[in-house]
Amino acid sequence: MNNRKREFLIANIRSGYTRIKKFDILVRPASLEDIIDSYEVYEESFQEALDDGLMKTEDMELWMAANGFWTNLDEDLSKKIQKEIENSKVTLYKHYGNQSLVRKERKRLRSYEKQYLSHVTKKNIFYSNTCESYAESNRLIYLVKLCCERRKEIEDEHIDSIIKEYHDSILSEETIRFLARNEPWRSLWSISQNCQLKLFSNEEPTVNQKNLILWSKTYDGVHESMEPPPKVVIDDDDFLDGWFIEKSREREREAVKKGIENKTKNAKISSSKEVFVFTDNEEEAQQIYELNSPEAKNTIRQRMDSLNKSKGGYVGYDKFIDQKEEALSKLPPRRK
Amino acid sequence: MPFQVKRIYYGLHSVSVTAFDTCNNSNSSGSCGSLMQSVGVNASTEYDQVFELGRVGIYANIEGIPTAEVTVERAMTYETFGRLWSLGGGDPQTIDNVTYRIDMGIRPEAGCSSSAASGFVQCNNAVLSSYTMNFSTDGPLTESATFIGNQIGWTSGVAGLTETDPDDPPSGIVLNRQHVVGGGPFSTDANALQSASFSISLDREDVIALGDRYPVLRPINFPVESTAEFEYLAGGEGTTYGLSFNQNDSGGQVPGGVAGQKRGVFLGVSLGAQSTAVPKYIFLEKAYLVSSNYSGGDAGGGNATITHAYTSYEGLGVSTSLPSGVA
Repeated sequence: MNNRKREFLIANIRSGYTRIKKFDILVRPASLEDIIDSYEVYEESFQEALDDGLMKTEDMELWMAANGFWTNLDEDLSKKIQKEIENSKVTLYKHYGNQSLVRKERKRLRSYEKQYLSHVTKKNIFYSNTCESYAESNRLIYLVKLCCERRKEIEDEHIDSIIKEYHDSILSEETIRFLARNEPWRSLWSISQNCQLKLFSNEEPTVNQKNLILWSKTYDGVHESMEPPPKVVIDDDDFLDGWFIEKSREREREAVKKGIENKTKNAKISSSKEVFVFTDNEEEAQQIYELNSPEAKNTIRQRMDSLNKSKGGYVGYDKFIDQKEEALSKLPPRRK
Repeated sequence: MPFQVKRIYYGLHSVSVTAFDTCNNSNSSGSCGSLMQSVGVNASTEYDQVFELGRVGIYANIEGIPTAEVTVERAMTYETFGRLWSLGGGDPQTIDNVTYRIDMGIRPEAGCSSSAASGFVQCNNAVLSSYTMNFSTDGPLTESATFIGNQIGWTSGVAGLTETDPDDPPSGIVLNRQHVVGGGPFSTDANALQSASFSISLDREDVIALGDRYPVLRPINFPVESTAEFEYLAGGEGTTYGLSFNQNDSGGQVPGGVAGQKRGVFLGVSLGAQSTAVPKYIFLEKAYLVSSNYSGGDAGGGNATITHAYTSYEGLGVSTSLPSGVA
C-alpha cells in the first residue's frame, strides 16, 4: 500500500464518515442516541420476526443439529482446523528466517484458513433466517438512513446495495494492522499521547477507529514487551500472530506449572524424575502433559508403545529404551 | 556429557498403596487410596561393565536390576490420620516384614492409542523407607511415605483400581490447621506454633542370594531414628504469643528438659467440641532435644521463629491415647 492510499484511509477513518460514492451518500458516525434508538428498532423487528415464526439463533442451532446440518463432529472439526491454524502460525514464527519453510508453511496456512472459512460458512448458512439476523438488518438500515447526509431520501430498491457498501467500508484486519504500524498513523498515534492531539473528529468511535486504536495499543505492547520480537516478525501478521500464540501458550504453561508446584509442595516429589500429579479431568491432564519437554513427551510415547507391543501387558522399567540409554550414559567412557 | 535429568509429568487419576504381611504378596493387610495428592518416582537401572584381558573395548554390559523410589503424599482426615504409617502395623518391628504394592493409574496423553487409557505404573514388593507427617498452617495436614523396590514397571491394567465417582460425596473432614490440638514442647493454645513435622527413616539393607535376581530380604537396620521439629513464633517479653529462646515449658524445664534427659513430644488432632471423637496423636517417646534455632526477624519483615528439633530411637507412634511419659 503506497503512502497516498494510506494517508487517504487514515483521513477517512479519522473523519468518521463513510462515503458511498455510487449513491453520493455520506454516512456520519452514529451518536450514542442514534445507537440507542436503533436498538428499539432491533427489539421491534425481533418481536415481529418471532411472531412471523422465524427461529431464534439457539433454536436454529438445535434444528441444524437435529437435521445433521451442523453436528458435534462439525464443531470438533472446526476446533481442529483452528488449532492447525494456530500451530501453523507458531511454526511460521519459529522459522521466520527459513525462507523455503516459510513459503511452504504459509501455503499450508492459507489452505487451512480457506478450509475454516468454508466450514464456518456451513454453520452460518441459515443465520439469515433467524430473528437476530432480521432484527440486525433492520437496525442497520435504520441507522444508515438516520445518519445519511447529502441525500434526504434513500430509495428502498437501493438499500441492500447501500448496506453492502457500508459493510465493505469496514476495513479488514490486515489493512488496519498495516495502517496501525506504519506512517502516517504511527507518528500521529505517538504524539497524540503527549500533546492532546484530537485523533478523530467525532465523539463516538466507529468500528474502524476502535480497531485502529486497539491494534495501535497492541503494537505498543509488543514493542514494550520484555523480549520484543524482531521487526521482521512485527511487520508480518502471520509471524506476529505466531508470536502472540506462543506467548499465550507459555503463560498457560507457567500457570499450570505454578498450580502443579502448589500441588507438589513435597520437595522429594517435586524433585523426582517422574512427577505424577492428581487430576480429576482430561483437560487438566492434557495441560499437565503439555508441561513436558519434547524429549519427555517422546519418552512417554516410547513407553506407551512398549506397553502396547508387550505380550504379557507388563514392561519393567529396565526394559524401557530411555532407562537403558540413561544407564549406558552413566558408564565411564570407552577406553581407547 | 553427563545424562541430563529430564522431568516427566503425568496426569494421575488414582493411586493405591496395598500392604502385604509377607514377602510373597499373598495376604493383604489393608490398602489406602483416598486423598492422594501427588506421587514422585525415581527409577534407574545400572549396568556392570565386564572387561577382558587383551581386549581394549568392553566385553559386555551386564544389566543390573532397576531400583525405584516412590514417594506418595496424601491429605488426611480424622479417620485416616497416619494411615500410611499404620497400614504396615505402625511400628518398625512389624513394618520390617511388610511389603507394599503401589498402583498408579495414569490418564492418557491426547493422541496416544486408546489402549494407553488403561496404563498403570506398578511397583511390587516395595518396602517402606521413610515416613513423614506434616503440620502446616497452609493447606491440609499431609503425610508422605517413601517406598523403595526393584520390581517397577508399566502394566496395561490392574483389577480393582478405579476412578472415584465424582458424584460420590466425600466422607470425613480433611484435617487443617484448626484441627491441631496440644502437644509439642509447648501448648499450641498459648504459643503460636507455625509448623511441625514428625518423620522416621527406615534404613534398609539388601540381602541378596544366589539364584535370586532381586534381593530376598530388605531388613531394617536398627536402631531406627525418628525426628520431630516444631517451629514457633519468637517474641519478646509481654507478648501473648511467642517464646523467648530459653522459655520454660509447663513442667518448668527448658524445651529438652534437663540436658541429656529424655522427654516425650506429641501433637494431636481433634474435630472440635461439637464432635464426640477423641483426639488422635502422633508422638515420639524418650526424645532428646538435639537443636534449637532462632532465625528470621530480619529487616525484610520476616517473623522471628524458634525451631526445636528432637530425636528418638523408640519409634514413632500414632494412637488415640498417649503412653505414660509422653503426655
